[in-house]
Amino acid sequence: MQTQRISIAVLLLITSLQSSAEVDVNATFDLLKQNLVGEWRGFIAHSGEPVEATFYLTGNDSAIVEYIRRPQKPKASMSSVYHAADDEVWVTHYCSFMNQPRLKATSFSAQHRSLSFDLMDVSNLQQSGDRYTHKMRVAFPGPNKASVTYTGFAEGQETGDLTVELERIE
Amino acid sequence: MKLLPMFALLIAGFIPLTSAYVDELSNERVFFNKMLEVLPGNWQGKYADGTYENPTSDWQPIEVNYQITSGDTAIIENYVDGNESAIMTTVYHLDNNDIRATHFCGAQNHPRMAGRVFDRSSNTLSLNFVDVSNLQTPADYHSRGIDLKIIDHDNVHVTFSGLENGEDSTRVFALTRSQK
Repeated sequence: MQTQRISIAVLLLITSLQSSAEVDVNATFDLLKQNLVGEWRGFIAHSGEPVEATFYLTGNDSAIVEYIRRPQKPKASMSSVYHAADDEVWVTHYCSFMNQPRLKATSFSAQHRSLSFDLMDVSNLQQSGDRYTHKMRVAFPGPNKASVTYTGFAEGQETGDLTVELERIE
Repeated sequence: MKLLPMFALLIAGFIPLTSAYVDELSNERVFFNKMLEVLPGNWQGKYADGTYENPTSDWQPIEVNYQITSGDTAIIENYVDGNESAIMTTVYHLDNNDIRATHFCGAQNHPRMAGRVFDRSSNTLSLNFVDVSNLQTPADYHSRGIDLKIIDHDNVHVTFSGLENGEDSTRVFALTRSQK
């Protein structure tokens, strides 16, 4: 626990020395690896719906799989895979909207302890007006706490955020 | 008037081609539905370099698990070690009528594949290389193809084709549904 808090502090210090708009791939991917991996429980912010989440490493530590289970809506489970892509950090989100946007990390905020991702492309859109996630944000608001926010987009405008608030299971 | 026979010939030739194309597309969606039905759960088996019929290395044990996610539109395939830690992961998903996969490889790169050939006789879908991220040098090992063969409800073969230093290789995983 103490080591975890120190790791966050060190990584935040390193990245805060750069512009908050820049993303250092090694520092930010290490931040995700060190602070997401494990078992979590929580809820969806706007509804209170309970969720369970597992984050695990794969690909010889080159990728992090996020699996969010929704016990009350099993079919609406969703997953993402975060990974380094040369000098960028990407995430492919396997969405409960049944499409798969790919996003890349575009900014890191040391103040808000968050990493923001913006859309690169999306697969399995059935129609042009279909809703898809076009932004994501991973944040660490406190010790053993994390949140993942998915911002929807359809027909030329944002459709709102779905935020999953998580607390690490000891 | 002379154009009419030519036009008819063109249409007559075009129809079987489009039919074959539509047949191919619908086969991928049908195959994906089969994957959803058969794959979820725990599997155990063995892997070796080469092919199942002609392995070029000793068989080694392996365990694999499959999970469905995202409204039945994606399947996560995890190869795990003895500590149940994921070694490598592939995520298969539909892109309209096309099966796609991203392989998060133990070589630390992440090739994307797209379904290209479906062999009905062997119930095998072949996915071919589209692109790869995080490849440090062109000579580094990276997967170039995946053959997913559903033998029956309890037996599956997954074969990865790879390329390293200009040389091709294959590794086959022969899986049986785990009883645990």
